[in-house]
Amino acid sequence: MIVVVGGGLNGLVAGAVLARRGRPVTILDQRPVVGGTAITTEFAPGFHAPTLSHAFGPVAGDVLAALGLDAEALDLVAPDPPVTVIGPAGAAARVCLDDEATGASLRPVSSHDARQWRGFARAMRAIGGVLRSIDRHPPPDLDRPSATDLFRLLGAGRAARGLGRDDLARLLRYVPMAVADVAAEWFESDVMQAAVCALALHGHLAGPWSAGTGLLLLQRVAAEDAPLGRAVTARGGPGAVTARIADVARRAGAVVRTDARVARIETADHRVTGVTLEGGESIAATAVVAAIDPRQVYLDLLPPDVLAPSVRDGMRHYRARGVTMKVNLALDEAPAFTAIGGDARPLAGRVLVVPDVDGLERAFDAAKYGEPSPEPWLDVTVPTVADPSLAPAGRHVMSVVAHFAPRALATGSWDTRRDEVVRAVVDRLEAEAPGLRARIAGTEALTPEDLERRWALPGGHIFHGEMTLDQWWVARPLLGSPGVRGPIGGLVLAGAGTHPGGGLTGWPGLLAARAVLEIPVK
Amino acid sequence: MPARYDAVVIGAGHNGLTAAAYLARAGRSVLVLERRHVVGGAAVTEEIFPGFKYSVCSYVVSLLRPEIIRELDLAAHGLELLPLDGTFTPMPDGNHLWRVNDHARTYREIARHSRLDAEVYDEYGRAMVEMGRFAKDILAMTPPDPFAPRLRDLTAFARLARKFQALPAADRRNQLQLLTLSATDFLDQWFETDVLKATMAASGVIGTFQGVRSPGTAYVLLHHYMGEIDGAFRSWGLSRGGTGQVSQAIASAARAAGAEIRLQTPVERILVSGGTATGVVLDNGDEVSASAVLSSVDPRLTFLGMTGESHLPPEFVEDIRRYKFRGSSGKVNLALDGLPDFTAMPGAGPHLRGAISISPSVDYMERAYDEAKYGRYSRRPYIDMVIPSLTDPTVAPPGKHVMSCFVQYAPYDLVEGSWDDHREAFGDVVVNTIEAYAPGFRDRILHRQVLTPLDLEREFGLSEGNIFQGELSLEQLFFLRPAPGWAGYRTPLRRLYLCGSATHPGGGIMGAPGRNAAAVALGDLT
Repeated sequence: MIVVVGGGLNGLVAGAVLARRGRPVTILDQRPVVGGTAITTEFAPGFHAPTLSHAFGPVAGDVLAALGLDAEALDLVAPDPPVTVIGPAGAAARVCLDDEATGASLRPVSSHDARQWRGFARAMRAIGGVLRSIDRHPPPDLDRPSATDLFRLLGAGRAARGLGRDDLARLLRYVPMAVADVAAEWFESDVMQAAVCALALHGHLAGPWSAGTGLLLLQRVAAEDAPLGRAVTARGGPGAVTARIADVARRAGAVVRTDARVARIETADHRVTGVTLEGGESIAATAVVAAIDPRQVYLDLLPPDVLAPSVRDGMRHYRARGVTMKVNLALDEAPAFTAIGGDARPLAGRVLVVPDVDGLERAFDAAKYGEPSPEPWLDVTVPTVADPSLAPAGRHVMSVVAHFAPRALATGSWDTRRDEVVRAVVDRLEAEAPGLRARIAGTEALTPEDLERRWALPGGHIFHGEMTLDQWWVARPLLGSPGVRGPIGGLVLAGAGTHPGGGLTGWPGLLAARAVLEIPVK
Repeated sequence: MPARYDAVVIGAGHNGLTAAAYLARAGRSVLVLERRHVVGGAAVTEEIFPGFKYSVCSYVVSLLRPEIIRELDLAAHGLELLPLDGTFTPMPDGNHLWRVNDHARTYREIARHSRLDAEVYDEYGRAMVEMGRFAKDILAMTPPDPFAPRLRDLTAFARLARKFQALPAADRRNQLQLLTLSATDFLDQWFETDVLKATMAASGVIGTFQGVRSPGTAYVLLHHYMGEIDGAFRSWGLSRGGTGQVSQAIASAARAAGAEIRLQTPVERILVSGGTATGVVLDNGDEVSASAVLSSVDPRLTFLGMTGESHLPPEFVEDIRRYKFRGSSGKVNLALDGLPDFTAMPGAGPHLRGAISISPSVDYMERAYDEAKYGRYSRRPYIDMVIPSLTDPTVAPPGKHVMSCFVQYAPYDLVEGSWDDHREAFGDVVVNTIEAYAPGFRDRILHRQVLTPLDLEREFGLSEGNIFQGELSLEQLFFLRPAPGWAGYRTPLRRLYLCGSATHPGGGIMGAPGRNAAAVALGDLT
């Protein structure tokens, strides 16, 4: 038996792929529904929202293939424009799937930026391609690199060389750079600079002037295979996708259990032997796929004596400082953003409501001292534009990710300060979409503390930990104990806290499944 | 005087002089051209106020490569390094932290704040020394080029990778974290005492436009464990006679080997013919021809100022334009009638003999940075003070003292007004900040010299007032310093070399850029 701990996207992908390959699989999730952060919930009578995540990575093509699915089967929606930016003073830019269209939308903002778009998009796609070639393989074993590891490294090196001198220089320079500097190399308008920065900062306790945020930008570009993201959603919301993958797993013979919280991973002779649930039930297993936050795996679920002290110590210092707040609004009428006008199409994608770069930095300043940003920046989508079935006829759901809301508050608790952030979010929205406040029929607000408590995400970090250079690739979650193969025989890590990280791509789950298939069955 | 030299060196800073000394020792005819009336660049001692010798800019010595001291026999040329012992951090609540090289005392002192921190302090020091050993070899090498790699570049990378791979797992992890984490995040893993972390982290941000919470600042912590006075890791020192004495000693070594040094001789431009540098034109119109030109001034001045874009490939010009300076610090030099008396530790004790750091908490440091991000100098700045006259009485009249205050943050670009309007107010902020910790201090000041980033640019030719000739951020280090493909001291023009702090391994009174560049130039000249 293979036990998958955690039924989020990655756990479901791993379980389904293994089941389809004929392995006996049990997927366990502590919550009443599978899907992890990719779920759809009725939060007000008749209104269904993407509870937490409101866009997919998108789910990688290789992952879909391994599941025997395609974009159509999952009813995925690729909005166009995927990203619309509302900047300071009402300036707006549409980033479309087509570069021509994007250029045209940028012309009124800045003719310089309109000219620059094509070059930026080309460079990002090229560099993103190289990073993707790293993302799609397990990181090498530093101590005993296998022939395959060396071959892949050589391949990545060749891909990097293939970029040519200019893009290779960009790749090497951008990784440690502050994203504000990257943005300023290409664009002059506040709205485009802020858009580039916001993409990188999403989910992280970092400001546009923080060094190393260049890597965060490139990771997003690589995962989404688009210069500023794709904002892929699904009819029925993200929960429909994870439910569908759970069905694939069940149909292939996997057992999917909810309300099943694992208390311990059992080991003997440095190999996993199974898991014990809270309540005492034991399930024997030859392999355990842990698709949950890595700190819980190493610090809570495994007995302390099976791990080297350096691993436990390293995991204790693993950084996961959550900064996002989720606000779902039930609306009696569609919102009307002044900067967008009457066109509803942009609302199906992401609408970024951002200040200029200094404003983003100021928002971060508050968070680093443990205060929610007084003027948060927002990542908004209205899923009911593409899928009216999510709300009663003529009504809408607005899904808002707000930054920055630090998990660790300097004063007060999230129970007492939740409403303050909701107010700041609605104020910001009201300023850009006058009349919105009066249309609100219901509100759901989830703080980083809720993420920690209800979704078991320590630190409330949506990516199971920061994806900065020190926690990336061979160092995710820990240098020397990267994801995929854990330090215990038969233990495989599969969550966003392992390579290649968070963002709902399904890659960590697929890499884990492949690693299990390589584990010899005794 | 020959009209033609094997090598002309632009700028008589410590790196230019070092390059000149090595070239001259190899038997080459060398001319060093200096704009100012004194050698040293930013490593200079000047008597601005009668009887008081200020180490005007750079004020401590730690990273000067021991091989340079040895090979140029700098001791024989008058270099004497005096130990600077300890760091004293006064705190606003009257408490303090005073770390010294005496192990037992430092243990007791840190234990006063936290027993756990005292226990881990040694372990931390050992780990950092290990890391320093790894990094030291990188300092000495000419960076390999990943952009148009030849076999020797590839083997150099392979060697580095193997060395990294051979490190024990814990060291590998430390190394990765040092390169990527903020100083605060790195130190948080070891220590709990805020003032200890703040003071240690402060060294990570010196001279950079970064805060103690900015990723990438952990790396500079290492520098403090790489200082090698008399071979002992982690010691800071003063040069007898002031920092300028380091430059004087190197200049003396260069002259002894036959180099000629001309002061008050600014270079107007570099002569280029068919893609090759052939000499320089001086401000007075004289031409000096040379087989090689080594510029120790920064790349902006060298290429955009003295060379001219028309001689350079456009993408290189673009890279140089993008090269970040962003000066973030100022300097206040004081002549004192008597010693400061700190509330946190009254009297003229040995705590005044080392560095005195105004860095009471991590948040204090970070807030100082916050102001600079938006174009204001810190109203409550980080200050690193040294009173060299306590260790070296030759720099002040008997009973009097000089005090060197390194101040951060002072952004080059101000949001309002120019530095000419703010200079004295900035000086007042510094004095008032110290006064708050040492009442009566203001009244002991006999003379005050305030250097803003603008002054550093005007007087010392440091573009935007950056003390390291360009930000020491990861994207401007090693094979990216100063531009991708041109980190090996050569430039797109044949026989034109960079030999200043804008090349690997960067700023500080290290001398490594000068020595490395001279080796490359000598290889080409033969």
